[in-house]
Amino acid sequence: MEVNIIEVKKAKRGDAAAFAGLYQQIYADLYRFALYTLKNKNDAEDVVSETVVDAFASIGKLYQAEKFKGWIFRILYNKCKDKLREYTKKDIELPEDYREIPAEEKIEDGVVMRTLFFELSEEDRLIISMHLFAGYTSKEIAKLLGINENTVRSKESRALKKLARMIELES
Amino acid sequence: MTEKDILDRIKESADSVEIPDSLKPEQIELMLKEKKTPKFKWQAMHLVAAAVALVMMLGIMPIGLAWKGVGNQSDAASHADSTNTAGKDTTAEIVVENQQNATAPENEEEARAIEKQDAGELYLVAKSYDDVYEFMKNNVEEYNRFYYSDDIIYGDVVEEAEEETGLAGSAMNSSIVKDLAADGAMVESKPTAESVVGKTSAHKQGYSTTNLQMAGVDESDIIKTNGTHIFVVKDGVVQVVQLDNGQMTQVGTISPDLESFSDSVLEMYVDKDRLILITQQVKESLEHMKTGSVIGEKSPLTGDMAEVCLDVAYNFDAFYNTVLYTYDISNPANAKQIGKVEQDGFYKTSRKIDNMVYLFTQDTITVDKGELPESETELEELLPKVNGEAIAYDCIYLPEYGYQGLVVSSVSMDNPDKVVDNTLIMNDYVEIYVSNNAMYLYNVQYRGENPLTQIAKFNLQNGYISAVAAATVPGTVQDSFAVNEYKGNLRILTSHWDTSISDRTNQLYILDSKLKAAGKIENIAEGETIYAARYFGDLAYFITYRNIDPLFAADLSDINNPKILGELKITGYSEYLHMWGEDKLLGIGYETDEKDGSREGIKLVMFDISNPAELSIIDTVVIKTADYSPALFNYKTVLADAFTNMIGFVTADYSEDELAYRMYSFVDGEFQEKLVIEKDSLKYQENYRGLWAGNYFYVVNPVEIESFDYMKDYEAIDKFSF
Repeated sequence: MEVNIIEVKKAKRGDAAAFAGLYQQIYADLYRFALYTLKNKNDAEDVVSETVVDAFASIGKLYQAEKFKGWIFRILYNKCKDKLREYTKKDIELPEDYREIPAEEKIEDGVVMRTLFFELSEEDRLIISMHLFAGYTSKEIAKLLGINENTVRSKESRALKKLARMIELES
Repeated sequence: MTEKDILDRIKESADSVEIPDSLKPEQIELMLKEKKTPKFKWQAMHLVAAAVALVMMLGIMPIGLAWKGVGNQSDAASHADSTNTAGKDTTAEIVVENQQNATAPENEEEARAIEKQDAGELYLVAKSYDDVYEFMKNNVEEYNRFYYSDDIIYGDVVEEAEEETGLAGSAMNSSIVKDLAADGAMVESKPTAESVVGKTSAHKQGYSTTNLQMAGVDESDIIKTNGTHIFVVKDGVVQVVQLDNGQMTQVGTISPDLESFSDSVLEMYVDKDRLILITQQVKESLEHMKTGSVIGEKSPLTGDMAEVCLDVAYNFDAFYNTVLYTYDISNPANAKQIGKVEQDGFYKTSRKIDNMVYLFTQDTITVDKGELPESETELEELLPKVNGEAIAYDCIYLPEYGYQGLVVSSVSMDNPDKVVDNTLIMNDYVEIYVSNNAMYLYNVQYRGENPLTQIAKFNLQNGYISAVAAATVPGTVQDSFAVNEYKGNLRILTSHWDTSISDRTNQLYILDSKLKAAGKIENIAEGETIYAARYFGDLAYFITYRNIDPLFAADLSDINNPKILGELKITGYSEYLHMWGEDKLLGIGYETDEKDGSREGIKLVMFDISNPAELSIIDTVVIKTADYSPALFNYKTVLADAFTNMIGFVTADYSEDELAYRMYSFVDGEFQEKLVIEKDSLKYQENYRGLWAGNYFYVVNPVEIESFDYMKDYEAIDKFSF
């Protein structure tokens, strides 16, 4: 992401339009990250929206413009983790709303893939999403999850292999 | 299926996810605006008198306005705090984390920080628009004192102003004058690309580039080549000429959408499939001033008390605007404009480092006709604009005094419609030197008999511009090549008049990456002045002159203990020095009479520097019919390339009103004249460029191009006229 420092400065001064401009470059990935982690449309929408409010309020503390993306994703990551914790605490049945997709959408290849992805564990989904949507390196993921870098790599690798097997079974 | 395949498939599946409307940027912007509380409140307390004109050609009027910015000056952090405390626990947790991870300023990362850093005490970043306003007000007071006060005569003013502001004093405290003897601390810094002349990328590409001050730091020029085409700025357009084995065909023109006849096309960059064009717009205005009269001011001309009736005054003003156009020239015959950035001020200079262009313009900051800023918006209108937007206060550097605004912005060739960063540095007058990752602004500060050079360093990192430090050294810089950065350290050669010996003397200073004094050599060549300098890695070569021309070599490898290694005295002097291969140094200058110093022609000299302690001359050529060469003062006019063995430049004969483009090779220890193209007029003497592409050499000026096969001893191939 090429971050325009002037836009960041404006956002830091409270310019909503400038913030929206920065947000525009990443919002699709923010939502995808939330959806792929939480498996729930409404919750994903909520956490992204909350993330934006928090990020806009605290962008004054962002020190380097080029860290904007990593920084906002960290806020989102924390919100998603809280949401997941909430699910566990309340013993909520994992809301797999994407299981009930309208028939016409089913033809779409992506939907099948998404459904399979949702079969993965919470942690696996998080690791892959952090890699794929937030653009974090294994090292950064390791730091955030508080686990070893090699563990991140092997976990991701195992999860992807599992997915590969699931794809084969499906077809 | 590889892991990469799976990842790609997940990504693909995510691409089809429909994003809720509530998260669309327009909706988010609206939501954030609703949450936001107004943060600015400006209040003009009372209007006392009429007006102020800073540096307007006619309108000089005193100012009287109390200005006060009320309320929270864009304190995003406190805004953030209040929001966060209202939020949930999780938010608080995140914020703490953000503080630790995103805000901790680490030394090596300072250059990339969003917040600009001060340049020592020389230039301070404005903390609010109030600071900018106070600075303007102070400027006006200084200006009025300068022109109207009856107890100040011209020569004293600067010194008195200094004492009052304490600027020179504070600079002196941290200056090398006191620090040099003791302070040997050095900060290890990343090595930069060496400013050496070896095989450049052009040799791999097979064509020459503009002769640069720093390898790796590209400079704009009026004539460029990309190996297959020559681009020539001419009459407001760029002419595109295709090259085919020395044969030339015009294939197109690039015409920027100029607005008026007074607009001009200045210079350009050519890099792969990009052409960046710099143009200048001038907008004149003649305005009737209606502000009424100012009574009881002392006239600057007559000294009489006068009633200045401004009702009848007209104010002529000129506004300069510089525009940077970017074209896609993947098909040079059909260039396509892909970006445009404009900024206020007249073009001063520019540099291109990798794919980032840094544009420097100079703008005079004016306040006029009693239209004094009563709000942030009004103040912004007085500030220079970049792409139509005023430079924000936290991008403005303020010294104690100065009307000139140096506007610097960075534009990425990948996104040529936007600026990555910009800054306004107020100053009196500054020279600019740009290294591979920093810019240095330097200016002379007269203080009694000892002039000082003030230097401020600003990092340039991926387009981000932020100051590092400032320093002061004795003496003045005589040559643009006398300032040079290597491995993060700045080396600077200065000259000054030393009262203790009643003569001139020279010195070399080394400042570390934070501009802390590292080492120095003083009392070099007493009685002489530096005429030319060139640094080659850890070695410095420089020419001083009075009646003879000593070449000095200094070893700077130990930055705390630089040493003179060798000295060689010859007649005449060189104005331009160029590394020739690994162990030779080419000088272009004047031959002079040893006794009376009178000029006897343009001289080429090749020094053997293989052993810097024993410098020697290999060969000298004097062109007696030449009175002048642009090569002496404009290095872009020089082609000096050891790889193709070319030394090309223009000489002018003023008695005959003729000029000649001359090409020499250096073969077996001797200069050999390869080509002399004579013209019976001095027209375009500054605008000739010699360049090579493939096996052909081209002499280009704005009306014609001549080509030669240099593999066949410069056999003439083609001549092309526009």
